[in-house]
Amino acid sequence: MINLDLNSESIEVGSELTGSCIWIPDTQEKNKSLKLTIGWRTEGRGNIDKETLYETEVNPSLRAYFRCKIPMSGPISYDGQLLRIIWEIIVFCPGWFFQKNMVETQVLHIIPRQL
Amino acid sequence: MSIYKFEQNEAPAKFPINVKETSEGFLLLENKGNLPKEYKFNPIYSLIILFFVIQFFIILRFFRIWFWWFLLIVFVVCFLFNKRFRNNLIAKFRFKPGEVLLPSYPLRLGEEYNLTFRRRLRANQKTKKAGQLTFKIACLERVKYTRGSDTEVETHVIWESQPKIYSVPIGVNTYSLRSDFTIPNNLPSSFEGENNQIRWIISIEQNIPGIVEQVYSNFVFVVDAVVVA
Repeated sequence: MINLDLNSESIEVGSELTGSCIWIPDTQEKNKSLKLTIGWRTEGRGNIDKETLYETEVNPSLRAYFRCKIPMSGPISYDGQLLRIIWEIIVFCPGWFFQKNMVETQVLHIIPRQL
Repeated sequence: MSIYKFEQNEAPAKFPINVKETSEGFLLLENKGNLPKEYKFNPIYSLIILFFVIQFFIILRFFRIWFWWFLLIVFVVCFLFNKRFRNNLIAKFRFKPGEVLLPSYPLRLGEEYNLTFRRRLRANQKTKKAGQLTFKIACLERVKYTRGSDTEVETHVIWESQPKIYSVPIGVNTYSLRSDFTIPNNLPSSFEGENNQIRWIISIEQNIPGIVEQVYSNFVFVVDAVVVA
């Protein structure tokens, strides 16, 4: 079981995303560790663009804290006709040859800075 | 009045323009010289071009007269039947690149700006008849995708402003327009991915009878992810 806690799901560019993650594994998985990444990717008609801004390890039964600054340049979350920009936190179990066994994803909503 | 469709015109500059800070404000020059990453030096393309150049000289050596006639016919056909090609070629010889002046840069969502556009004719030429400038700004999505071995590009206009029309007087060497515009606060900021982009564009259509018709000056500008209340 994975539990993700965030300070907010809607974050302005230039501000910090903070939160924590705890993983209580089944008895068989006690020796493994998970990875947590924060980043964005595109979806839609075009070839995929993506960037990972933050990466940390989540050990079994230990609460992992994370802190990631969202760049001023964004990009902001966007849902258009040809293109979608999706920010997300992914917790996964690294497999062979960069294979990712997804365990949990949490979509973030990145918005422009309000003046 | 013609309606300018961004999808039909490749010119909505393929990359953001370099901006210079001057005493008058921030100067955006029409695309020239600053090629995007995808067009910069590539050894494979260079070899292909070299191969064609060598072929050209071989053909020229053996079929000199006929080849020149063929080239001339191709050129005349392109010139007569492709309006855009013809207009761009004429504009290149008759005009200096267009310029846009903005009071601040990058722009922000929800903020109002005033813009000055100006373009000069070459060699002291002057307008012979009254002309017309049509100004608008637009926000568009642009995606690049691979289909087989080809790379396709598709654009979609998310939003465009109502066109504003300005007149060009007779007998001027430099024509210009001043306009106010607001960047709507409910639209996305600029985004430049390798394959996906959200671009903001200033487009000015120029129709000057006797000199040029339907020539566009396009300026890609950057809008920051900041909303001004």
